[in-house]
Amino acid sequence: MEKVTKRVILNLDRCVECKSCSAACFYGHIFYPAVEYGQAPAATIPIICKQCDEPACVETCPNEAMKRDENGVVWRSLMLCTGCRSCINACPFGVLSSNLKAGQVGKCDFCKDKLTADLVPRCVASCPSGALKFVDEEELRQEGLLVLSSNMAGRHPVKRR
Amino acid sequence: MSSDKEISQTHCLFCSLLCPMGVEFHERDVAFPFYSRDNGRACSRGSLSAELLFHRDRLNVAYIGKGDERKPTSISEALSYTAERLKALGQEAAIVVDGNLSCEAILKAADFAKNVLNTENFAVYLPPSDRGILQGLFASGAPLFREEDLLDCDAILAVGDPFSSHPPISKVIHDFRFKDRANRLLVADSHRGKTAEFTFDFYQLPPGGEDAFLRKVAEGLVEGEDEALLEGLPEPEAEVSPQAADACQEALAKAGKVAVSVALGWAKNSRAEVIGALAGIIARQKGGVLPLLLYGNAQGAYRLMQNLEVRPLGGLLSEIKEGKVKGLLSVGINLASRLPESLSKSLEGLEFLAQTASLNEGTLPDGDVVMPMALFLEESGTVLDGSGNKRQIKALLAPPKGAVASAEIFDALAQKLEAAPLEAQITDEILKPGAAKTLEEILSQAYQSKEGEGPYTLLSEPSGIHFVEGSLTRRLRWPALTEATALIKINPQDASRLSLRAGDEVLIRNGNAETVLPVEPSTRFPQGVLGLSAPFVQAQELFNWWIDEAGRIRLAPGRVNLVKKEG
Repeated sequence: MEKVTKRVILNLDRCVECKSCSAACFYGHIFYPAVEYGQAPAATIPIICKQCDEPACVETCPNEAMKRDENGVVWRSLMLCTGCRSCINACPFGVLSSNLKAGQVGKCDFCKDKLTADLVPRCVASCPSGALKFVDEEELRQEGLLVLSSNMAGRHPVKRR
Repeated sequence: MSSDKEISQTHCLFCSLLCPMGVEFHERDVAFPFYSRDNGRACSRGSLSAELLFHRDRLNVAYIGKGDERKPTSISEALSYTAERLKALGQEAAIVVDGNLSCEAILKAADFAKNVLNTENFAVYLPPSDRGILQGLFASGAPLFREEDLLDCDAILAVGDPFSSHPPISKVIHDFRFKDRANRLLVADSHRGKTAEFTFDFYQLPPGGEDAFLRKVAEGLVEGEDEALLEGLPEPEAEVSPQAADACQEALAKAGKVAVSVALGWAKNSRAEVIGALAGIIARQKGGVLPLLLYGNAQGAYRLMQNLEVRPLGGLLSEIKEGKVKGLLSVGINLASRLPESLSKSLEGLEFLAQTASLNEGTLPDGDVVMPMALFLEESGTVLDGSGNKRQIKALLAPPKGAVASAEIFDALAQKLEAAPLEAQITDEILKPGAAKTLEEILSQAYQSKEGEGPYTLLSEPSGIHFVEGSLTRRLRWPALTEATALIKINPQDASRLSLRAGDEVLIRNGNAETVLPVEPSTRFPQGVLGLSAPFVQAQELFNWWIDEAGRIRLAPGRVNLVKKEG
């Protein structure tokens, strides 16, 4: 697998809040979902791990359960996580949920099994509205989308219509 | 892709879009259903199917006997007993099948009823809104659009909230919006749903006002025969804003090509055939209609119902109540959970009731016989999507040992009664679209509406998670995590008047039922209107159900009282 330079980007103009990404993540990760939701006044939007270059969750984990592999994917080891919540507190973007799943922290790993097979993560593959994309920022600009933050985009920064 | 994986393709049956669905196998175990077209299209219902298929409560044994006397038995034994009892009842026996079975299964059921049991008592269950929309559309003769046809339009009029009820349609509607800035998405709905968020052209309707709105829009748009047809019709019950209708009319008049999508969902309007007919009248002037139905094979089932001239289910239930029908085999549907007690109670008077089920205890239906049945990825057959395109669904997995496919149930029953093999020939003739009534008959029909009690109108919000009343999907883990309970959405002003805050519990009741649910103030709902966020069996009674003069089941929004639950 090559180094992953792409990110999961949410196009706010398209998200219909169907939560399909969450269902796909839940069943793809054997009930350890990693797609969380943020409640904006007019919408409920999925918040997906930004896969930071210098991840605070990896830095802070006392058990070395959070790892960044050679391809740049930050993932959580099922065997080592004790559910101490250090990573949850450390994440500057709040993408890690404080609700533990079976005593563990749910963590997006970009669906490593899919990437290995040259496929996109499950949340992106399932998104029925085309809101989630697995692309780099340049591709979004070519599509005429404004990048609002490191994984949010849209044509209009405030309104979706 | 590694060699131990295999992808098999079929179609999802959870709504009439029939999305292409792939199932990924890892060394004979299904791993995950996914959808390969357009880099996406697995709404949450599609994702749920893996858990449903491998649910620990999958039924793999048949039962004979009621209550404490219920005993497990083999499927063969259950089929023999059922065949014997049905044969003994003969013309007093009835067969009911779910409209989401394949066309082959429905045909075999019809053949079994007619030629083996010699009974005319055969009915197919379709959600009242699906049946009505198709009846109206076929009467109008409007072209049925496929999803991709929406991209060639200049305006889409969405009746209802398709983004909530049919999330995969959002992709093509977004593509339409972004294709040309002049393209107009018009949304008419009785609450401000998710689709309405994406347009400035939202028309707020009173509950049950869809037909009145479309009528006003049509009156200003159509010419010639259609104009004459609309003249002199009785005034619709609901009063809609003339300004909203004028604005919609103007937008449609300016557009070159128009698509009307109709997504009525559950308990939104009891006059679905009028809505289908009016949508057809508007669209046939310069476009077409995309019906967004609850059942995957709604169109296939509807066409078979017309061409086989099957009895309406409501009429059959009335005869069961009167004691004229004494035995029933129901396949693919648990009538006790799909219908409210007021309608399903008559089943208690049956001398013999055999039902099928896919999951074990908890949802196991009452009956003298309960037979384990396959789920949709375990059955093959022909289905028709909402636009009328024929699709083949494939059995990608074998059902659990002991469970059988729906069509096989009828084959086995016929065999046990030493009858000729059942017919299930899918021909153009048997699937031809047909109108049961003329446009004039539909539009001029006086609708008996059932008055409810209570100052609030209760609507069912369309759900992209649950399937119909949710008795299957509520057994699964992700819906339980995501929607642990249903909520009552209430207008913030109503909430304030009743001193209700988010999370407070309220007692909702009418003459038929009562339930306690938490509330969530929401500006999506106008004053006086409540929204039930997700369907569940116990809430069925809160809506208005009745059997009309033609024996058809009708379903309308409920009228309810709401009080804050103290303590």
